[in-house]
Amino acid sequence: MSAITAQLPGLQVVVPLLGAIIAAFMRRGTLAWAWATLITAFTPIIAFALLFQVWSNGPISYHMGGWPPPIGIEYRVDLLNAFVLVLVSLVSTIMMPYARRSVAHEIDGDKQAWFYAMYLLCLAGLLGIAITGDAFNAFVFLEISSLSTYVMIAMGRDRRALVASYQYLILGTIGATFYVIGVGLLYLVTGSLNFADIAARLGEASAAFPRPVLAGLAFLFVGISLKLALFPLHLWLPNAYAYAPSFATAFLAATATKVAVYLFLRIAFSIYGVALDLKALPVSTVLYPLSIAAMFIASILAVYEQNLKRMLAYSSVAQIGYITLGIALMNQAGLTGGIVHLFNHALIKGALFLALGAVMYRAGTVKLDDLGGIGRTMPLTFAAFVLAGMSLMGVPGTAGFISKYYLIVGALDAGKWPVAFLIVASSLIALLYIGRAVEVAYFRPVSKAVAHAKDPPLMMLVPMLALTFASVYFGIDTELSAGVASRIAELLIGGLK
Amino acid sequence: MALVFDIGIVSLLIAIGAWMIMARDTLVAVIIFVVYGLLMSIAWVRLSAVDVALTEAAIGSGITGMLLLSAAARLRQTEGAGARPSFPVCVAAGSLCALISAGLAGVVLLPADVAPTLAPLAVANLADTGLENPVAGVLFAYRALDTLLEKVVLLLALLGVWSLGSDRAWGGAPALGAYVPPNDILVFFAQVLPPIGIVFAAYMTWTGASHPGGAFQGGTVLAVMWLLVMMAGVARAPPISSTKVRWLLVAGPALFLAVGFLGFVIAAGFLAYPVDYAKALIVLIEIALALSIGVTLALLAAGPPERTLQP
Repeated sequence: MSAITAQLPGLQVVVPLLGAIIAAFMRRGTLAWAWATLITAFTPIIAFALLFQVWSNGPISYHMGGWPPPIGIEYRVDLLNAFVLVLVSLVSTIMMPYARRSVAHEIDGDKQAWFYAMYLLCLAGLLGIAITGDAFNAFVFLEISSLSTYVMIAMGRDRRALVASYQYLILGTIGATFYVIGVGLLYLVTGSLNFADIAARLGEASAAFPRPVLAGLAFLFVGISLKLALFPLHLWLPNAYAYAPSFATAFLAATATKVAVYLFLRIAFSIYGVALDLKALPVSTVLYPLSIAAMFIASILAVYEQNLKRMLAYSSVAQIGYITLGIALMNQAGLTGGIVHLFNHALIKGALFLALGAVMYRAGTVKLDDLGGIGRTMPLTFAAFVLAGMSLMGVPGTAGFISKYYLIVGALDAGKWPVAFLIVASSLIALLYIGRAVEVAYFRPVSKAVAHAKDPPLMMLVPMLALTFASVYFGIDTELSAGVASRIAELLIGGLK
Repeated sequence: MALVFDIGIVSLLIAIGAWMIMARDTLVAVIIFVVYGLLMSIAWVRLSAVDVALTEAAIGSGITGMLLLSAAARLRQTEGAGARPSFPVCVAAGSLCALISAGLAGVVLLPADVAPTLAPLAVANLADTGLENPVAGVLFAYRALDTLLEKVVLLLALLGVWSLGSDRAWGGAPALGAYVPPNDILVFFAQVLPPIGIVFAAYMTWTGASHPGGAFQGGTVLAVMWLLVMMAGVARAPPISSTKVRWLLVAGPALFLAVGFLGFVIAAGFLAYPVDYAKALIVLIEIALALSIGVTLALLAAGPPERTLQP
């Protein structure tokens, strides 16, 4: 048993990777779906095992191929990435039963197996970014997750999916290039690719070569910001989310940007923060205005959006603004707020996009004007939409409230009461765009497109309701979300120089 | 003398780079790009990075050049149709790029101290791998995972290209319409060159364990040979739904993964090799990889499926 336990970090990535290659050989969509579900279900088991191990015994170090760092690749699991691994794998597992009908509805029979192969590769890539302790290995996983994402988006029904995928490909490639240039600069001055090793050598290197160290930070910052869709580098996101197959949108919205945020935290707090004075570096200065701009501008764009998938995509850009705002605050409560919102937003957006996927499945459209009265024909689906939407706004008693609460406390602790005010003000805009959807869904006469729509089959309904329940439940019981996030914030801030 | 040569190479690189940007015609720009890649590989040789030079010549200018050529040929009909960005936009974009490049160059030009690197450590551990080429040691032992994943990336790129084909042609074969139509000279070369090319590719792959070379370079030569055969019409491009093709595509990565899993059982963990068999296993992986890379690259250059399957 202990032999397997020791190999868990390796298995976390290798299992979905192998699963993807086998899935590519399958011809039948249903078989590929069953296989992908089975493989996905393995990943949270491993992730939880890792989390418990880290919780009781501290960080785990795994040497890939038996080669110790810095020459070999190290997988290093601490509380922060164990938390991200659990989040990504668990949300994916909850979503998988939903995939079968939705994917079968939107993707041609003979392409479905490919879609699942892409999905598993993307999952492997995201888990890989989260688990690795090596800067270049993270880049390779970033490429795997990005390329598989482009293919998934391009499989969308709409012809515009191709253009959306192409735009994302161009911007994503620029982002990856910036990231790898940043890694190159760090290697230049420290001679290492291992996160911990770089952190140990960076202080000395910075004294000798201050400019490459700063330039490296700038390149890494821009590169990762493109992947996490930080305003104004979010331009790829609305179209990509709008035209991708519904299941892909829900999966990516819940996981991909979160993993990019993780990578940002790792580089800012575990590398630069350990070696240099993070508060003296221009991280917060840049993050504040961009986060606040995201919270407002993207939310306002969401209000004017007709296509509900695009509306939620803009909302995602705004929500990422809250997460980065929490990082910019750099104090205990603020960082807790950012990290807990990373968790809560994954659940909330997952639930919302699954609800829209169900609308797409039954009504064939997500244009707001065509959806009059859908709240009456698809009652459970829209109840889920409203509940998750309330959590998105931050109504007390929901998970979203917990995020906002910590962020506001963090802003007040930092002595920035205008920021606290802006957090509340921007949440009101979410009320506008969710409210607009509610108005159409419940108070307009039933339109033609939705007259014969009804709630989706159980396999789609249960994952949607489960995520909705979670996005409310974690507003009441905050042990696993805010409790762990607060502990992580403590560790990250405690590690700062 | 060496200094004069280096300065010459660098100024040529800059001049050719500028020319490539200035070129109005896409096809011309692509041809200049190929020249640029070849010059670049000479620059790598001057920096004593022979492995990088080989890869640059084979991938950077060879296969990438082919891909770009076929893309340029496909764009022919639409060229000039789209609106060109206005002059101020071009100037602004150009100046910003120049600024970032100049800034990066300024940052990289460190004081004369030798920058720290992992190279001595890579050489020191080489005995445990049974290999003699430290580059192969990095690729197949220390950072084997990255190499395995890069092969998956290559496969993904191919799947991405395939998914661009129309739904009607899904599972069909590439038509290679973007290249020159078959003619006698092409057919002659397609019949004479492949045997030589295959021997050369085998040597490149085999020698990678101790000298510059390896699966990637060998695979590229294989790819070019197969492309030549397909372009000349000596053998038709296979349909992408062919099981044989799929096996060839995954043979390399699959064997790599299998050996990786073997590591769980007989060595320290995933991708760990038992010391006595390290070299044998690595060479085996390289041979399978060369085959897969050859098929992947050739099919990448052949493009998305355009002919529907004959019932």
